[in-house]
Amino acid sequence: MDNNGRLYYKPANANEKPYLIGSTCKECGDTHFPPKGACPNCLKNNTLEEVKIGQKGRISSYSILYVAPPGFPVPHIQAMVKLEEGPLVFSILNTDDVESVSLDQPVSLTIAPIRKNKNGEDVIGWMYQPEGGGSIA
Amino acid sequence: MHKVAVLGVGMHPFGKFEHKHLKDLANTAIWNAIEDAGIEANRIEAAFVGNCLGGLLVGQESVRGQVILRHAGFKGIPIVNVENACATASTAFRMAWLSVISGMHDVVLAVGVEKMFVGDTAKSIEALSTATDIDVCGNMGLQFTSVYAMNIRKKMDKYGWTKDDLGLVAEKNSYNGSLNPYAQFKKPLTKEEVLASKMIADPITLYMASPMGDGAAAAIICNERIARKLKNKPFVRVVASELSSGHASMLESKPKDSTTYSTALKAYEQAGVGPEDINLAEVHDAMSPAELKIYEELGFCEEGEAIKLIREGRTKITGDIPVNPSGGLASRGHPVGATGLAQIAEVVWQLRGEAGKRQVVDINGKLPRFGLTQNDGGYVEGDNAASCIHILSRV
Repeated sequence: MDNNGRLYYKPANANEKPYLIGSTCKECGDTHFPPKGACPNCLKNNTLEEVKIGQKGRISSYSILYVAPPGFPVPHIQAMVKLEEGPLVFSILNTDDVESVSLDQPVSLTIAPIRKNKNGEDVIGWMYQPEGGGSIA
Repeated sequence: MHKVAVLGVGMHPFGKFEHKHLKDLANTAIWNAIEDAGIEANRIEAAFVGNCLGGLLVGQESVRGQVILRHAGFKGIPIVNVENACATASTAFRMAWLSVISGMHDVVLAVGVEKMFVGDTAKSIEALSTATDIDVCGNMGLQFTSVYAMNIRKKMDKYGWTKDDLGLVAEKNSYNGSLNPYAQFKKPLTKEEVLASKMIADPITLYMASPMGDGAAAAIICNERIARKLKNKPFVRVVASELSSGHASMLESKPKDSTTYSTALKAYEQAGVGPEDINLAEVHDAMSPAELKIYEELGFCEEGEAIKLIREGRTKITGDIPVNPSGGLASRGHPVGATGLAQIAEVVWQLRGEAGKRQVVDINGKLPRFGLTQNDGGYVEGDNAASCIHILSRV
């Protein structure tokens, strides 16, 4: 299943910005990622609308993985990112500078290859990047 | 409401058993439990069979319970297949309990079994990552080592846990595991050895992590009427069974806002006891330092005080609130769909005074009266997908 347009938006050109696709509740304002079918706060039907979220957040916590499944670089950094809009999102960090990562560090969204599949092709997804630089070599 | 007793428990040792099928592992645990129960097997009226990864790892996606139990000799009885990630076996036990407490059945079998050594480590690791919302976690690379590591890093920052504290938990549990004939690892490790082992998901080192494993555990439970007639062994009553799905944030909730805490509170209420009455606990330390967080979430101490418990030795077998006398998941092993029933088997042996060198007794030499099991499964929306707690009592 192609998640572009379902869970995230990958910019088609340099003027656009990437975003995650979330949901927000028209009654209580609760915001979710991934987008929900009903609001977990109100537990009512038909109160949600789609929203563009996730361009910025902070690192709630992270771990440097020295053992990783096939297709991922070793080491790499995994994090839970607290989005400005509220949701906590799992993401690999788009940096291999393991020394510079810290709790509460600001990060911003990028859509990039996160791993290789069994045929060696890139799998695209969201990644967060510490502000001020970084990328996986 | 009827009362429910655990009549017998049994295990197949946890470890690497390359030439044993799911069916073989389960058969040993089932018949050990039946022999321990001291009843005729034909009195078993229903079975709840827990297995987590057999679909992906051995290809038996459907009717695993019927396949496993036919091999063990059972036909005709109702069989229900149960899957709840790492909380699979405790959930199977709970389903069995529900069928007895409701009065529907008198004697019921619960079994949990897992076969993780299938000759392809990458396949097993990938299978484990499906215990998440794969759309936003598993497919994006999330590993359970990382779930635990992120949590532990946050607690180190917030409550002043040190690497030494993490090592101490693994040291304690590896010692306990060395006394357990069913454990996968029987070598006691020092804190220094734990911290010097390979870093796998910073701050988690290899010797803090539960291994892949093969194994099975089973329990025969019954209506207490029947247990009273048999009287061949002291019987153990199930005084609480609770199951929740996650409603909090593993990383950001305070201990008393956690899913484990709310589940435990319901269990304490059901049993009519408090955390101070619990004499031992088997808890879900898939990475052994996770125990610290669980001390607080089960109410064994206040927020931020878990490190006092481990530093003062209070959770050792000889302490006042022993935790994971079996060795826990990292030492006993963690064949995921069997773990919950292995926890229950350990508590039953402890309450009956049959735990050998790892037997828990109080300062007057008395056997424990109340034992608790806490079994988590999966990761959804930043929290445990399943949280299952049982309290057992010697009668």
